[in-house]
Amino acid sequence: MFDYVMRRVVLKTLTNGDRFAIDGIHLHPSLIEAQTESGVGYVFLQVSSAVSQHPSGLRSRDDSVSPLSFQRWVGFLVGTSLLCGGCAWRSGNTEHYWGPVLFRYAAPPQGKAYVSEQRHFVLLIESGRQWGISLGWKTRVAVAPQRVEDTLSSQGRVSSWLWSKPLSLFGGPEEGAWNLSLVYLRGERVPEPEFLSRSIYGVELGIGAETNALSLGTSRTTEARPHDNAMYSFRYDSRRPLETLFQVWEYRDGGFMPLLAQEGRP
Amino acid sequence: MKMQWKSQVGRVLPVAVCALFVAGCQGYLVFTTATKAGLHISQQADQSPSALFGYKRAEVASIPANPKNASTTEDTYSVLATFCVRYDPLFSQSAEDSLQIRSVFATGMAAREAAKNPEMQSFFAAAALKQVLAPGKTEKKCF
Repeated sequence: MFDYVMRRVVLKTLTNGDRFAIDGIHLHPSLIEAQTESGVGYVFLQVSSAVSQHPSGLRSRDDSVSPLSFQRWVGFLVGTSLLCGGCAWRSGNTEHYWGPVLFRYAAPPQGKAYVSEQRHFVLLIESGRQWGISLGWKTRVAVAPQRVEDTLSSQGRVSSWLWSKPLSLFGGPEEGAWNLSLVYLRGERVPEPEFLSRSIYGVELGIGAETNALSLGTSRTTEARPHDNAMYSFRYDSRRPLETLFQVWEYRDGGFMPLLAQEGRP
Repeated sequence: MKMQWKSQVGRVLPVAVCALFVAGCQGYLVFTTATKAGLHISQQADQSPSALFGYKRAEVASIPANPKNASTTEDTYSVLATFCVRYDPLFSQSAEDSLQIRSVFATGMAAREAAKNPEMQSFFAAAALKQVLAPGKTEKKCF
């Protein structure tokens, strides 16, 4: 928007040969004409430089171009944040997301773990077991393990994991593909994640079960929190998170071969 | 009105900062990897608070110790693990921002039993040897 307005002023000036003002500094028509010989780009740079030295704005004589002010830019950023921002509430086995969110998930038997990935832009407010606020581009991947016993049975345990977009006109989210939820996304019977990957490009303040951090810039963390008396096999590639393998064998009375068979070569 | 607002911020801010550092002090096993650039203030479980300005890359395993002695039926928190992490930062030669993790690990009584199991011993021995780069091999791959 800034570039567009600047170019519009320059082109208009070059066409009409009119003079214009930058914060009260009136450029003489002879100066404009001299710069015209060097082309539009040159004049554009000159005008940009003048504006940067006079931040209160650029004003054309016939008032056809509105002034650019710091307050307008702040208003624009706040408005965009509110429009594109979202809220996430995670509590127990239920997750709620309001506002725009890019989302995909995979669950057995198609997947080898219970994986969900959410991407938020601009502003995200989190509450529930994780409280926080972030401004920027944020990605969260949560993975819950699949029990080895379920992989061995011929039937396999049917996943009761349920994701839905109740306020959407275009049906529920599709497993294994990117889905865009603009208003409301809900996850029910979500298994507790034992692996989390969180990345943020921007600013984040978070307090809770997943992270306790204040970060400015870029931050990417992964965290595995296995429970006691269990054996795990885990493979994760951030480029293909839905293909994550995360299997758990609960300790009972020996017999580690099932997990080794799943793991294959070390 | 302005003074009241400042006063409220003055009360809430210290509480929020304390909560940030205290909330993470819980006793659970954690494997974590982190890449940070910029300003980062954090607190991981069972560790001191940290502040970073710049770039940092880390792989950390935090294993809480049980104050009770181990017995035949109770474990202090044994861990048996093989762990491979490969990370290509955004501006590396491969121009890919990717992270690969491969791990097999056992916790508690499962780790104690796995350590006694000959097949598991062979498995972990082979996994450990594979982590060492063979002669002429320059690239590390987890899978």
